[in-house]
Amino acid sequence: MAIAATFATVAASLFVPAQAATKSVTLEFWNYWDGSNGQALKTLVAEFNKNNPGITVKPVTFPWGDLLPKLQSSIAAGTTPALAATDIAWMANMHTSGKLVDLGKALGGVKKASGDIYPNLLTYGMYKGKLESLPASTNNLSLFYNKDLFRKAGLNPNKPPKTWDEMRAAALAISKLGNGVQGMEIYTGVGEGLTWQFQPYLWQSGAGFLNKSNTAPTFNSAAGKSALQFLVDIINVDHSATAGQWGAFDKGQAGMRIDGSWMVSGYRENAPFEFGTAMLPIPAGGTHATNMGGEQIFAFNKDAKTNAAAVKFISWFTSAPIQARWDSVTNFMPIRASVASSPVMLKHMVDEPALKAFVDQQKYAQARPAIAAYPAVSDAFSKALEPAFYGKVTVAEALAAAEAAVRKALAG
Amino acid sequence: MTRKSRAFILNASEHSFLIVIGSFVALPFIWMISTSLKPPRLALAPPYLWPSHFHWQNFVDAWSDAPFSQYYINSVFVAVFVTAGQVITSAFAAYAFDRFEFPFKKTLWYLLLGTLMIPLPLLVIPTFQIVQTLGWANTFTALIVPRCWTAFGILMLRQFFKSVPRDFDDAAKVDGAGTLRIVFTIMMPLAAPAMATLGLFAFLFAWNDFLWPLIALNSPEKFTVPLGIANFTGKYGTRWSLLMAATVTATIPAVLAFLAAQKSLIKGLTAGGLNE
Amino acid sequence: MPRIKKEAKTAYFLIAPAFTLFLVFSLYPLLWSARISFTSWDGLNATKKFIGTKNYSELLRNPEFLQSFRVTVVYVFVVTVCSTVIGFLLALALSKRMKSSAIYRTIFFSPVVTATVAAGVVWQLLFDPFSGLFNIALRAIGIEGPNWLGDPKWSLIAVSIVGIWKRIGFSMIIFAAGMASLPISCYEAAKVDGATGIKLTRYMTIPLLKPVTAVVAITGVIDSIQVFDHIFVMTNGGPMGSTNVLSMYLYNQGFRVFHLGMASAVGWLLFALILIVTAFQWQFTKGAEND
Repeated sequence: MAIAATFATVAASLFVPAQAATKSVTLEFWNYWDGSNGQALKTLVAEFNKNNPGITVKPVTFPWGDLLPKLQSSIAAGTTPALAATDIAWMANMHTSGKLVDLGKALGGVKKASGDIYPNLLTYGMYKGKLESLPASTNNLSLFYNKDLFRKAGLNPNKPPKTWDEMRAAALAISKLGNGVQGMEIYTGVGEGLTWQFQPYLWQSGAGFLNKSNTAPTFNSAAGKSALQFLVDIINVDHSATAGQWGAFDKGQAGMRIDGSWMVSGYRENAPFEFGTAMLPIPAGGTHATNMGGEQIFAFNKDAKTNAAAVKFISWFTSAPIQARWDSVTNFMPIRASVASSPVMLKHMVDEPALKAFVDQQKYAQARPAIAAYPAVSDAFSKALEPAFYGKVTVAEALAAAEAAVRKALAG
Repeated sequence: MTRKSRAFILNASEHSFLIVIGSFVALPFIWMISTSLKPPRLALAPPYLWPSHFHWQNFVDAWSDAPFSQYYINSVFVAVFVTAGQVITSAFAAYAFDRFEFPFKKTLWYLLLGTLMIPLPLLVIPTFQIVQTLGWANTFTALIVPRCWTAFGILMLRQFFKSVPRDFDDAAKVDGAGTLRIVFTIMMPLAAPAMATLGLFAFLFAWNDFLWPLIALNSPEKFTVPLGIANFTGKYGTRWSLLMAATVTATIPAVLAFLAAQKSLIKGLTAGGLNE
Repeated sequence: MPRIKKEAKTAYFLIAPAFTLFLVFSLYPLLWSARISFTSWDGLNATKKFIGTKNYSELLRNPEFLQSFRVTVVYVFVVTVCSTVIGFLLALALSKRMKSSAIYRTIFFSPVVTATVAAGVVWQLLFDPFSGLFNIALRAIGIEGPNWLGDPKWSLIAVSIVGIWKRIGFSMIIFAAGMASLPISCYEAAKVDGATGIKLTRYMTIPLLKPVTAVVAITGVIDSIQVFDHIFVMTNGGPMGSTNVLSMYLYNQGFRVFHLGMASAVGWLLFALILIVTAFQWQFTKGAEND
């Protein structure tokens, strides 16, 4: 009987859609920040809600891979939330929906809205001259290395490789330890993972990915070929890395890997080995470069009252003091200079020395092309390169195929 | 070869077959349970099967990471209704297809089978639009109603109803029973093993469904268990021990459903014709 | 005449609940996606541009799609045949062992009960070339195990193993239910004639179970053609498309690359394929049934 009563109550409350709030505005905030990041968000949001009676922001977390289909279906059905934060790589496509609030207009102009946010982070927010999203976080890729394995291979654990040649030599030395240990891990699976891990090599060697106007590929050049050949040789000549394998570093079975600042807390808690970080090694005669990741926060167009509340939250969340606290828990990188120099961040850098490499590299972080065709471009690019890692095609063939496929993807 | 030794060899080979397949099937579970009991630092490496000490804290952490008790209630609620809906609508339709003749019967049957073949991700967006038009977005109605039927159930029950002799129907009709009464008091009980099987599959389908609840629900307090578990594999790293602990816990109601369905199955088996 | 009309009325009344749901939640979305397959919609833009049959013609010439088709056919064949045969043998073996069967049945059914995402994750760990149990076992007897998921020669085998694993319990249960419903009378008659063991199985059980086998085989094909979950988790279609089954291809087109129009076209081709295969299977079993 009690069970029936519970069912009935649950049914009553959940069969009927929620009543619209009377005075205060409730803003759903969709994101994919889980675990400790999700907790940090909840804490900050609770503060905002307390200091802003009349506005209640409700964070809803979805798994990363599923947030996008969720947004797609909500746009199609008209059930979009008031706020959302998504991967910068999806922003170009979010903009095409035409449903985002013009933040520049709402905050008194693009300059006023962005303040001292690093300019390269704003590329993802601009669409047809309007500022429709702001960075909610940023991060970049650096080199992670296993200090224990370095020691075992006779390498100095406090002197990580600075050049491509040094990295290759270190990988070779570590792979000689045997027992299934890999010198380094290279991501060779089809998809954005491959593209985004490989782009720093292209930028460092001067080959570049697409041209400035994002209308044509530039990677099929001598510099591009040398970049790809470098990785292919590590796999197929040195055998210090294996194609189609990722995850050995987490288990302490690989000497090095390229990954983002968000991994630092995970490794700090769970890695069964001592790890270090360093700026990405560069080729002889090359320049520093790394890939920029992160999330952008934006608002879907609703009614005037909801929009105003959403804009208020966005402005608050991207402000320096809040971002400094946000970054100190999540290990994300500063989006503004004022965050980078704030006492909270400076103390955090001291507490977590592994972050230094990421902070130093932030100024060399490059943005991927912020165009709607980017997902198709990245997919085509990675599909053409994968066989090269397996030694099925030559580097020249792979890049030629990639160029043709990318041109096709750009044409839509 | 004597009949006795032939029987012995048959028996022995059956036994070995069962053990080999059984070990193959059980292996991932043992691994799953073992990982759920390892402390997070040791979850991935070095690989070992028997945890040196049982890290029950994983289960506590997994449970408190999200409001799982609410998720369980939601999942049970949805699953019970979907099961009832699927079983009843399938029994009705199967009875019609097996016992009756009517215009367009063949067309409708093929249409039905056809729906089994529709890849689900294809339908998600338009189905959501319909649900939203009906005003059911973000409600349990959206989770239950669209899934209250199953072409598979109709297919399976039609095959089983075939084996229920028509004499029973006719006898009941002579007694003045209406169609519904025949379905509920004759067809369903006589095809009990099939009904139990269908009920079990319906429950499992509703219990494990991930994509549709993901699209249809926005409020965390309405999430079902698979949505809660998916959050353990984030963009920023997978929390293995917690994932395994949560999965092990989520499997328990499903196993219970199976055990409940088994009772009916065993009853049917002992009454069946294969015992020697 | 009136008798038939009444019969039809009752029949329609009985199938009404299922068919109403079918019309609203299956047929309409299906037709909607057909319409989309003739556009270049990206899933987000407000406008959908009509491009005729361009998606379909491109697909049929696309080597990636053709590879996906091949991969799917191989997977479906292997998984359906193996899981049906093994399921049948298990049900048969268990039908004779009342005491231990409950435990066995629970074990064999547990993969069906597990969420595929979690199963995929665990199998990934088991297939790990260095620390996975399979290669550790192989190493113990001196064989260097392959990179199950990262080697294009082995990846399809690996995901097929998982597919079979997941399906054995399902086919076993249906066969068990079928065996439970077999008429005792036939068996008594056969035993009187002196039939036992394998003979009994071959000449009585198998033929009598033809309708049930049809269900298992047909649903096996339909199910495995749409396989997605564990492949998504374990290999994401790779390496080099060696496990890129059609629904994986569909998902990538729709949700990764924003070609929802193309994805719908893939979905419809997949649908057409299943329709044809199933029609064949159904006709085949209908013929056999009439024995």
